[in-house]
Amino acid sequence: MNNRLKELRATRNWSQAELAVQLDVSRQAVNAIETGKHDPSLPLAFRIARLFNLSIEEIFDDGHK
Amino acid sequence: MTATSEDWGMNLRAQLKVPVLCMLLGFLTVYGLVVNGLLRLNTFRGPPGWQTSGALAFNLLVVGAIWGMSRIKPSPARAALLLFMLGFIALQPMGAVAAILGNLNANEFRGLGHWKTQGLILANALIFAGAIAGMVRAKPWRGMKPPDEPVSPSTRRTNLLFGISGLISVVAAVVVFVGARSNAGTNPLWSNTRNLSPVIAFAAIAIWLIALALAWWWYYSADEHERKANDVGFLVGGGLFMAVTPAWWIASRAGLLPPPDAMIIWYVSMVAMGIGWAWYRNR
Repeated sequence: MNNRLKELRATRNWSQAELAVQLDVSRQAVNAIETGKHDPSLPLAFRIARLFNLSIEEIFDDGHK
Repeated sequence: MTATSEDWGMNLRAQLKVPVLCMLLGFLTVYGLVVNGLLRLNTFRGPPGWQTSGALAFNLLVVGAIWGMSRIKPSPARAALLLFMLGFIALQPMGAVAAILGNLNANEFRGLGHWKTQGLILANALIFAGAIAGMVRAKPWRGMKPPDEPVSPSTRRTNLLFGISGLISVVAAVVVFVGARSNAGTNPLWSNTRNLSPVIAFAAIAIWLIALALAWWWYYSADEHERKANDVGFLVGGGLFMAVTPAWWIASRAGLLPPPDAMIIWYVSMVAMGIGWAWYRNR
């Protein structure tokens, strides 16, 4: 699944480790989500969306219009 | 979008961490097995061997290195090296205690009252005390993680649980190894001969079950990515176990192979599980 997590993280000037602390996950988890190798669960997707004050659809794109 | 140099550095560190850790643990295990073998076969029975003196002298060098590292600036690499060396040192006294327990009923055992037995115990105790004192002086925990890489509370907790669980598993293996009488040409750790005393067996089983309980606790407190990596590992290891066990058993029934060795299949499955877990976690 495509996502804008890396781009959003860059706007806040956070490292992967800093974002991981905010989300209470490991840095490897952030890296895997950013590179599309791991799709987050719905609760984690909500946490990410709330952190950036965006909706889930504004961050994640499953390719369906 | 291109990856930043920081991301590349982190990815490289993450990729290197598992193989380096496996190598260090493997080296530690081999060293432990060799030292335990020397202690049981050469030191507490026959004439003192130069190998045992060499191992003690080598451990003294490691203690010196621990003390010397207290002068180096704290860093994660320094912390890892210090803890590795402490594990290195801890194996010999553990091996000595276990070797004495394993030799108590052996005819060749010199006995606890013999000055050579007492001298070896004292030497091990002094080396271990020296290593602990060096650790206190070097304070390895000061460099456990770089200041620019914060760790979330849940990750810190799961890393700790994982480490403790792994350490306890190694202790269980060491207990079984040193509790087994090694016969020429057999590997005491993987042997199927009945050479374990019930006391050693109960101790090893208890330690192993504690390690398993901690591993389950780790699984349920880990984040979803870590749990998924663990699931992938289980799938790989469990799949291998389910494929190999009946195939070997059937081949054995047909006279093509010796009877299946459960521990060999288990060990290979565990290695496969670890590879699956590490692949998903660090890819």
